[in-house]
Amino acid sequence: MEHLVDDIELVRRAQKGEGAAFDVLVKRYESKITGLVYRYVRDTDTALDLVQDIFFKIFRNLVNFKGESKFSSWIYRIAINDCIDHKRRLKVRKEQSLNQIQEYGYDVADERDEANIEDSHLAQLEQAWVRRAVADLPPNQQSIVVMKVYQDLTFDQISEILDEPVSTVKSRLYKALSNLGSVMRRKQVIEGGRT
Amino acid sequence: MKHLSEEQLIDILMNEPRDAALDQHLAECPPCNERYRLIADGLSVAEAAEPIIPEMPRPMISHAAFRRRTWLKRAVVLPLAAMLVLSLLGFGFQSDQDGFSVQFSLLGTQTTAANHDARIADLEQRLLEAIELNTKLTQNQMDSRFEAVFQERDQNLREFSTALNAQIKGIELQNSENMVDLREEMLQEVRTAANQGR
Ligand SMILES: [Zn+2]
Repeated sequence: MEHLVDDIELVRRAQKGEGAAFDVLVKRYESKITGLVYRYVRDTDTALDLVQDIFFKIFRNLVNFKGESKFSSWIYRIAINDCIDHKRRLKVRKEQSLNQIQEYGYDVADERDEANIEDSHLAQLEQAWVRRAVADLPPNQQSIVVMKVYQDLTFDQISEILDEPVSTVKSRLYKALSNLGSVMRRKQVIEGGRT
Repeated sequence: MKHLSEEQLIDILMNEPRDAALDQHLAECPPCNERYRLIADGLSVAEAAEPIIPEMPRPMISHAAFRRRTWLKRAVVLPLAAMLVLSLLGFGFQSDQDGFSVQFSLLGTQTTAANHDARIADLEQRLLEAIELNTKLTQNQMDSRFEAVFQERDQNLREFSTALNAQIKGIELQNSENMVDLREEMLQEVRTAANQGR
């Protein structure tokens, strides 16, 4: 869909301090970015926090945007990097909590986990393992799955967002999918052995 | 013809524009077919896991809100920092029934702040500027350090995974070929057993 005023024009005006221009850009991308982030983190509160954070980064760094890439690619890049950073921080916290289990003999984050388990029981138990499989992918493989499979972006778009050659993007998708395929095989073997 | 590369298999799977010879090879080459089936299964796992986006409240984002946020930060953090620095310099802060007053007690002299309004205002201004500059510099430094750590980690990971991937690729191909051989052998055995049973 073509807009009456293109992104670059709005960016230029926002850079000069025109608040209304910034707000139009926010309206234009807010739901796309929210969708992307939710598909990555799968949690409403976390997604909303991250979206706030992402747009604040865009607000602060807008003066540095020189237009080497499309504006949409630039904000997608900020968003995906934020998601990846979030996942890294979460991993560090998980490792710390594992250490705590070893140290104290119990998990301080137990309550939350229990809530999650109950939630997946009530939701589709069948869906739980596929969700876990995707969430367990390395962050940069998960981001390609989100962008290609869920957001339906083209390989060229993803390549511009990540500033990496198309071949790298494709080979990373291959790795992600073969990892997921292997999880499925393992599950089939285990279930085959049980029956 | 060489076996299909990862990118070529992805092109077929994701229905990207490609040379028809690739599909031809896939149809005729069991090892490539094995690899293709693995990523096709992977795609179905990814699709089954696609999150349904729930109704969410609109995030409160606007130029005005962000400006307030930056302003608030300055309005709260900087005066607090200024008070700290001023008190280190020998200014005393007092709050009594007459309100809030500032005293300067350097070198043992006690003079009410009213006489030094201009000086204090000037000092305060310069301190605020220094603190602001310092905050910015610290933030930049922290950012760039974090960035450097992440980059180094990414670099190491990249090198490691490139080396690992090269090995895995070899093993994967070998495995696909072994699987095909194994299937052939098993079929052969079943056939022999059937013939003997007759
Ligand atoms: Zn082949």
